[in-house]
Amino acid sequence: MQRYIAGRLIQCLVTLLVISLLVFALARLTGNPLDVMLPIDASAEIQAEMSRELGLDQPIYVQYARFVQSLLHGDLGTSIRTRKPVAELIGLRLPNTLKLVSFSTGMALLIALPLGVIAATRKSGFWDVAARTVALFGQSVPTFWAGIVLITIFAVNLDILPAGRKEGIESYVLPAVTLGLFGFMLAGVVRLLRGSMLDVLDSEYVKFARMKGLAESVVTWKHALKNALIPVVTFVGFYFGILMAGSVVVETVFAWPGIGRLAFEAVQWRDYPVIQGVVLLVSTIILAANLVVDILYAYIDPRIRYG
Amino acid sequence: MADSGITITADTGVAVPASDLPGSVRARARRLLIVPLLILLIFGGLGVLADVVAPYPPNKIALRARLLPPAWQEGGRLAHPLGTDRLGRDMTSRIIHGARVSIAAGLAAVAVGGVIGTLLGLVSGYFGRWVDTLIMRTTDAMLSLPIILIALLFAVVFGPSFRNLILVLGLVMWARFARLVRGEVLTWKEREFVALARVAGCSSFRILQRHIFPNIINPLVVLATLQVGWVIIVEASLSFLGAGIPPPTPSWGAMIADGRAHITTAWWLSFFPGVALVLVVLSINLLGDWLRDFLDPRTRNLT
Repeated sequence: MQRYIAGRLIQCLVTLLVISLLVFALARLTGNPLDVMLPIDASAEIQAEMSRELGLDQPIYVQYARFVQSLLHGDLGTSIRTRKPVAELIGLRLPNTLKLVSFSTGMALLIALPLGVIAATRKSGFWDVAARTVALFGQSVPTFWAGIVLITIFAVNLDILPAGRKEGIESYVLPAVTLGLFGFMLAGVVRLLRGSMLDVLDSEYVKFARMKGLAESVVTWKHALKNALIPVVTFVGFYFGILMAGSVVVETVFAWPGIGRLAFEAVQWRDYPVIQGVVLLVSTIILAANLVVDILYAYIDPRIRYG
Repeated sequence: MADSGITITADTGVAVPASDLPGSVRARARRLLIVPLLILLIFGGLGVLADVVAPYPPNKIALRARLLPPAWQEGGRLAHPLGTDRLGRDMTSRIIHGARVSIAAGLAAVAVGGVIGTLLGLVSGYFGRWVDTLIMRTTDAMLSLPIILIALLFAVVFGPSFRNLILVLGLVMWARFARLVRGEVLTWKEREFVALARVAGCSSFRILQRHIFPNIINPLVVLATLQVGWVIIVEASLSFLGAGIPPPTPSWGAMIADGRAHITTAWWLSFFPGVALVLVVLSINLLGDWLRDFLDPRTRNLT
């Protein structure tokens, strides 16, 4: 067990290393930071001094080490546009994104779980076709267009729901429906659950439970679902983070003040440090979610630990 | 690691009969396949022949014909069946030209990612050991990246352009191909015919090329097809965010973004490019699902 966790931890650190290297390399490619910070006619002396102050005269690996060091201290740099610390900007907006993504995930699961199970128990029947259709559309309709269509219908024409950020629970409805239904989460869970239920329903222990004379509904919802959920939970844990990245688009449509909208605004202003901060944060969240889910499951299911 | 759940099921995906759907359902599904194929053919044709078929040049500005509604609405003109945008550009023509951009981007990015991923997957699966570990760890890392955000990062650094977009999408996509191909190589390389080829003195390259790769083509085609649909959506999302294909090139994502400002008065601006996008992606996904059933029944129950 310890070995498994240690292995997974190292894997995560390696991934973070790759991401930080990527971000660092890209940051260098945006140009010499001195060009942005100093006037064009700055003398060579001032340039050299500034360079020394920022550590730009050091070899590149030292610069990278410093970059990582400041990251570890929670210093994500300063926004070029607002001159505020990136960590502060993100911290203000992160809760809005987390709430939106949680609502969306909840909504997707509320639909996907029953649909996936029923589809598997009645293969090729009405609900199976319905599940496939829902998954197909969830996979084929881009969130930003779905959001705009929903706004046109429910906010502009019917005028029953707010189209953007407003206090109160009703402002969550449209963005959460958009992200939940068309952000791949619904499609992914329905497909995965249907598949894994089909596998489990065909397994020996389910047959045995049936032979014991248990009602089919008990077999399905209690015995089979428990095992069929293993890959689904892994997927949801993993996808929660991906949904945070996907919320850039939905937050832009609904003018939602989350980190996605922050990243979008930063693109307009070529504000590299802000986007870099959002990328690093979301990547870390994805990795952490993965790690937690995997470790939890290694505890529950020894097959994973030794597999 | 990223989607270990999917691999767990994949391992249990033993061979199943060609299909356990009733024959009539299968036959009906096959007949229905003509619809997505036709849609793709139409959009593909429109894209290729855009310069000939489109009634107007896509960027022809006509300020006196601004924001015309579709022809069947009051104030619409037959000359502009789907209306015009805020600069008086013909929506129909722009959507037709957008088909070219979207489909080309999808195919090109999948080609880049597919080639890189397949090569790495072949090497990783066949040679194993530290090469395998290195490539697979990198693959895991790639798969847990927030792709849209990374693409935004690239767009900011290199500036938005068609070429940069293809490179970014290809670079974030190879990992899925690498993982699939590696898994397939692992199952094939222990087969007797591969061992025999080795005894007969075939080089590693020849074994991979002549004996293993042909067996991998089917699942590869399935993955590539589904990826094209996915890339088209990602490309549109990036163009929507202003980090994809730069204006004035007509791209569906950018057109939908343009329409957002007129959402209360001119619904058609965002609506029609989106319909085109959904039709194309839906058709590709249907085709991909069908190909999977047909070419690669083992993975039928998987995502």
